Amino acid sequence: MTLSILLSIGLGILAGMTFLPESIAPYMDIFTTIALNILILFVGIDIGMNKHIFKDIKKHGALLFLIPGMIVLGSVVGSYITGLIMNIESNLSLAIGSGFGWYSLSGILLTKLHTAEVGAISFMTNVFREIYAILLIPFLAKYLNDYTTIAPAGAASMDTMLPLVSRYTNPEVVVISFFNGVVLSALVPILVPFFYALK
Amino acid sequence: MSSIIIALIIGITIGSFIKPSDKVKNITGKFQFIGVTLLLFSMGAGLGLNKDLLSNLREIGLTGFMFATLTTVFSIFFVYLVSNAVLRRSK
Repeated sequence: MTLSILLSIGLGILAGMTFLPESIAPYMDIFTTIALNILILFVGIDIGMNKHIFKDIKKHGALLFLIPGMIVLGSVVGSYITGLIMNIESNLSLAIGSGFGWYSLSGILLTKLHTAEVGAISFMTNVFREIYAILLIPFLAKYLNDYTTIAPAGAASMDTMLPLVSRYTNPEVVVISFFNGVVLSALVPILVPFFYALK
Repeated sequence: MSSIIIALIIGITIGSFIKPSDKVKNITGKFQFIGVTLLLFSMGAGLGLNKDLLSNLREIGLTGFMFATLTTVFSIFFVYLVSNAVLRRSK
């Protein structure tokens, strides 16, 4: 599975760089959206078939809020340290870290707030975060625990990374993962400008 | 974004009418696998087609890579710590 994941993203990048015409770019977005929605539909069917899922979630109810909270904490700590290493002002580094993997939004936000370069850094940060999620989810499920697969996915745990979480864990974790994505996605447009305004 | 929520709700509704069996789970698993493959391919193609991104990749790539690495590592660390504690308590 991990190999086919790497192969499909690698072949995609290669195809985009070489033979795919640039005129196809806007359609790629539509194609991604359609593929994603069909996928989420099947993830939903999996959840719906699981009759005692809400009882399972109640058992670990605290995790519903603890997981997004810990991802925010981890992202803040991680981006603060990165700022120190790379010599970037801490308000800027914290704002970059608050994208939580949602590259389309945080990149645009920071381009508008600051410069296109910082927007691009934020975009790349979240692209790499998503690549980390793709690579790490199978290993986290195997060696740590199912809930930890949500951590690298960040805000993408509700959409692009949800099928991966679903494949390696169980429907209870999928519901928590979805909820985590909703909470983090709501926080991105709040926390990015908030941290940026701190001087 | 809203279409995802609609797709999920439709899926859950369909799923709640289906009697779970290994055969159905096999089919949904296969569709998810095909879907993931197509999704990742198109995400990759989107990156490959973004020429502005590729030309600046070296400068901004390293900084982005550092941010991604440390935020991912610390997110995993804290989530593992807390989820492990919750799981242990509920046992």
